[in-house]
Amino acid sequence: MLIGQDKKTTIISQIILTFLAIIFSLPILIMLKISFVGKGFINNYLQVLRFDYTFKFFYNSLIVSFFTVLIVLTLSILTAYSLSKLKPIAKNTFFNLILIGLMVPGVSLIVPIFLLFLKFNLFKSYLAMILPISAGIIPFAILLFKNYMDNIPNDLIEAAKIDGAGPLYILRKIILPLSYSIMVVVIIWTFLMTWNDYSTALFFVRDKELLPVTHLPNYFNMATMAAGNIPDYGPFFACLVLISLPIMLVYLFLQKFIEDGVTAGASKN
Amino acid sequence: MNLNKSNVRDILYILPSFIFITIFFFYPIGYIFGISFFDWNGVSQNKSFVGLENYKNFFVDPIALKALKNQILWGIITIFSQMFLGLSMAILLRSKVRFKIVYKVIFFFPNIISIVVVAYIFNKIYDNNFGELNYFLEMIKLNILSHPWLGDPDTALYCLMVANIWQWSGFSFLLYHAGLTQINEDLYESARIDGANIFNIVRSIVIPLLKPTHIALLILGIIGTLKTFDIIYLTTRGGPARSTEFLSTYVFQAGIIEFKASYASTIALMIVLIALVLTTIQVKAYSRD
Repeated sequence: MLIGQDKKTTIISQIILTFLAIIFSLPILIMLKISFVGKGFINNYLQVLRFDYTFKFFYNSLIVSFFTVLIVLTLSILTAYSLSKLKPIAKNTFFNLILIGLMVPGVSLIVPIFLLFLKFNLFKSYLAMILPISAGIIPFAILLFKNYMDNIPNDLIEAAKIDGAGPLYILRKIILPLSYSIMVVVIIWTFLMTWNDYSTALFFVRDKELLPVTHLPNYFNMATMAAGNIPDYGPFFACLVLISLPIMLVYLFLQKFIEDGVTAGASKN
Repeated sequence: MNLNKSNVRDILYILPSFIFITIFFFYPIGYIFGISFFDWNGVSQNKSFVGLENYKNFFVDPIALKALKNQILWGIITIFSQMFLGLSMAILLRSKVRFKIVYKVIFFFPNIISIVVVAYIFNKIYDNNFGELNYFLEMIKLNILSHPWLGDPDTALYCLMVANIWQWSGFSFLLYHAGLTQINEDLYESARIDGANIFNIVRSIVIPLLKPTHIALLILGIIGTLKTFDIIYLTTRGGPARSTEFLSTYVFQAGIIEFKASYASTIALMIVLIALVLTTIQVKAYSRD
């Protein structure tokens, strides 16, 4: 073991870790606490749930997440399969160009995309979120799938080829069944990134009816309240907890896949 | 290479992703490069060629330079703090402590919640009148330090860095945690027999052997710094007195709000260039070893 196994070292480690854990959990505890006080737990959450746009915004986020996952999964599997197991022309050039997508901060490209969406009138469509978010995640997903597929032995594929199987058949019957775990990783991460996204809607959506759930707290903002009194933070923070709830559930049940995604994505740059 | 029908067919699998990436990366990069030589508001018919004027303006624009300085400071402080905290957590967890899974969840959880939630929680903590930080200082009789944390140009940037470090240390931790499992434990034992203590081992074995992880975190940290937008926009909007202005918030302000498309594109191109140059240098330096 890296750290000594004697009692003293273990106790010191335990104390430092506990101290760090208390500091790191404080912001979350503060959020939970504020969502319970003021007019009380039930009233705070009811006020959010009764608000006209709450369900609308949750629904919007679900729709956007669903289609983003669908697009990212389909396109990146096909591309990764070709780059990993087939022999396309200019394979390395394509791969390197795709990797550029990982390096360029998307926020720097908002002006041309804004003008493009203006031209095609996409400001009042879910596509204004689905397309840019998918584009941002696809390079990352391709990298994950390609690294994973590179480890699938080629003998299996050669054997199938001798039996006359075409590339799509091999993808469906050999590659995909062996790639379920990485598919779960990509699905979860795409969902998390889409659900948590704030700025794409800020940049490109100009219709209140289409906003995602991350824009909901704006409607419970304390800034609009009369100065002088102590503002009622309860509903606002209840709203933050509700936004995070699906994330918490996903993390609780699928912790391993989320953590695998981090290490798989960063290990090969 | 022998070109045949199947080589062409295999490209069809790449094409849909590639079209996506072209529309959302290559076309915009070409576009901002193109209009950076013009004076244009993005919508009008009037578009006049000004050569390098926008670039000249960028390098003497006090706001752009301030944003650049803020971002360099942000990158250095947050990346190294996250690496230090993440590595410390990972090392401490390779001991016989109990409740390892609980620590792991607590350290990593901030990384997966929305930046919106992070921004609003810290906005409240730092609030001058109702914030938990000032309340805590009052409790321990340090009223003198009580402060509008995000309203003061001297503290705002550092306060937001704390929020960022809180959200991202768990990410560094997970990577170091995975990196440590790759190191052969026997190395530690033989070093111990030679009389090395934990600090010697960390310095001369752990840190050098984790080099791939350091590089990955540096590259991701730099790109992350250049991407940072939401937390600034949701808390200070670049203020007070531009003390938290970033190139990204400046692009948004100039390009989308003020309709200065060509100048915003020049700033944006700088972000892209910085990202590409810095990551390429690091990848090169890394693969040379």
